[in-house]
Amino acid sequence: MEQQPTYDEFSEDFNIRFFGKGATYFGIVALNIVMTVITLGLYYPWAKAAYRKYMWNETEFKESRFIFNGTGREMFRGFLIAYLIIIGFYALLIIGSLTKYGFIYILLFYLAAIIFIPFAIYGSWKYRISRTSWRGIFFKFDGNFGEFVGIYFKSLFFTIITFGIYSSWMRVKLQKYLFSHTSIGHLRLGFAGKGENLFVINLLGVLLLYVTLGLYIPVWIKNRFKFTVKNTFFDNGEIKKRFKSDLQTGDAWVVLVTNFLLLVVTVGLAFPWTLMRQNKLFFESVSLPDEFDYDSLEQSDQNYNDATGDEMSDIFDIDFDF
Amino acid sequence: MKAIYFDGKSTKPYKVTVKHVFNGLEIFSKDAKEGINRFWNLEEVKSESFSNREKLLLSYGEYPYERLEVSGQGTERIINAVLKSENKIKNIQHSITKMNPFTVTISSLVVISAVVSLYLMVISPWVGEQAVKIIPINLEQKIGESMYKSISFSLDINEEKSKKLDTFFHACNFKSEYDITFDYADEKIINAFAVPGGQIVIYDGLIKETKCWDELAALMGHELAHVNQQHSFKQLARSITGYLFLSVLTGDVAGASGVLLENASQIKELSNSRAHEKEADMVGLEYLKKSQIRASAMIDLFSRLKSKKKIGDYEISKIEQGIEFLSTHPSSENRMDYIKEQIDNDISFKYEAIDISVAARIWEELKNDLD
Repeated sequence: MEQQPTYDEFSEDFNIRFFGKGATYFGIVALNIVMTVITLGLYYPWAKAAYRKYMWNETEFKESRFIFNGTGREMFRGFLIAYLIIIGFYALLIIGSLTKYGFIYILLFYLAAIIFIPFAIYGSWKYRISRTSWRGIFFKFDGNFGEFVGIYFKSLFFTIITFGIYSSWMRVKLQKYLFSHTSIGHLRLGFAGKGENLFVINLLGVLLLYVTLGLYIPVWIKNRFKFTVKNTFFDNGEIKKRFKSDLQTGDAWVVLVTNFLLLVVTVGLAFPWTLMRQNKLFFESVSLPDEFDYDSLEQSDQNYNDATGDEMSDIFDIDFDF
Repeated sequence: MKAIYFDGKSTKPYKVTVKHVFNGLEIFSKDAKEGINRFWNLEEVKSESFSNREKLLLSYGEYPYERLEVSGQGTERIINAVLKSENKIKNIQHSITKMNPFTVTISSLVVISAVVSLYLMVISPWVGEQAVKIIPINLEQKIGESMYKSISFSLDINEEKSKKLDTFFHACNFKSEYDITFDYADEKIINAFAVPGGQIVIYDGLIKETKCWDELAALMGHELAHVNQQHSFKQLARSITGYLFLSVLTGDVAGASGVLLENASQIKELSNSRAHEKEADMVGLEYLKKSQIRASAMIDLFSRLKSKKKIGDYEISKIEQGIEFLSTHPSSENRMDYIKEQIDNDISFKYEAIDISVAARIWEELKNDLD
């Protein structure tokens, strides 16, 4: 038996902890697969909710677990719309490949996809944030879609005319917008990353990727992760304090490489274990600033329906790897 | 038992004692100054977690919800009480967290492989067949044309010889609803394949293997059967449903759209299943019979290809990512057996084979033209 956690003394530890177990997660995946197949796919939103609930629940800060409050029922509508859109995309592709002026349809397809991406990033962030709670207090997102889309297309334009070089700055800008509109109680999230720093990380990544025949990939992943974490901060209106991560290159390299090998050897079946292992290493490297009193965060005045209001929010879920 | 209570208004943790009475949970603070004294009706308590069993998260009431984090001794009893009013799925999820890792792993593996094979062997073929049924022939032909367009650029087509194959085919008097056209690929590969909608490609290397004109006819009968039975079209429908399934299982719907883009190239990689190959053999025999062409020519050709395979001196057809012929075909022994059995046992195969002089002449020309 594992030692039971005690509550007698509250932890003064500001680290994130992660308790996910590969076998349990595998069981949940198996149940998800069975239900999804039996219901011919309709269970999918519930499967996703189960997955998130598990991941959130196994993540702990100051001895309290996170809770994902979203439900399959909530996500079902977005899921149906998403499928209709996919069928629409399909139709464009098929028409495109059958008709004389097919390239126009293919072009339309790409255009539709490009328009959809900001929607997906924004929607999934908003949905996840507004459904996440810790110690009963909900995270809050107060962004504005119009503003976000403006930033998105402006930086997309620069990315295109610079042949992709600007993409690091674009990413930072989007992250800044999303983070700065996210809060819990009186603590507002923020992002202080600089495009040029991310650019150097990515440039090194691309260059060394080939030179080292891929062995640099784990280091690249680690650098991007640390870039995100160490530039994230909490702002209580008076002071801004950054998150920390003590993730070591050697540890990241060993875990990611052995995970990769495990996946290859098991034709992918080891994924629940490799995912949990990676999450444990990465999440637990993170610690939150210790200058704030996390016992006095208060529920903001938004009501839950505000958060549910955006039915389209969970349409396309793209992971924004944080 | 001890627990931590949160009132839904702030993150302030209250140390409380929880008592399970028959229809609810009594929650009161140890420190009287904090003054928590709540009663939760068991039927309205929601369990929020299926994380490890040492820590149970409970919610109560309306948004923003009161919460309780229960751990240590007695947790088990509370979980069981709360789960009674929760749905089946939640109960199963909870029992998964309770099972030992080895049992979960093995049973998950068994369940996943059972369900995935059920899907791949029953559901997706069925959906594929249904989809094929409702798609009209002219659309099938268009799809076939565009598929073929995407691979034909990589083939070295000999126009003149292709025309000869067309003439040969018509001389054999084979019937099809589709507009059958042939392409002769000038490559030293032993291969032939049929595209949905009526395009058939035969390779130079395979013509070389034929020892008599009716063997070429037998090959055409086989390929024609693939077209008429819509084999590759069914395969296409199947692979698309398979992809949709995988995209749903493995992750986000967004992934699906990426997969759809890829599908265009996947189309090239279609290969016929063994069941389809056998059907093409059987139906092909019927075509030979209708045209009064020697059915045993099929055995002659395939047994020769088989012996080739044993020597291993020919290249298995891998036209870029083209449709493979030999590697996916039924094992040769087995194939010879059922074809022979059909010809020997079915009395209707005891007809007198005719000689189609046009076909014979074209075949000679093609053979003579090989280097």
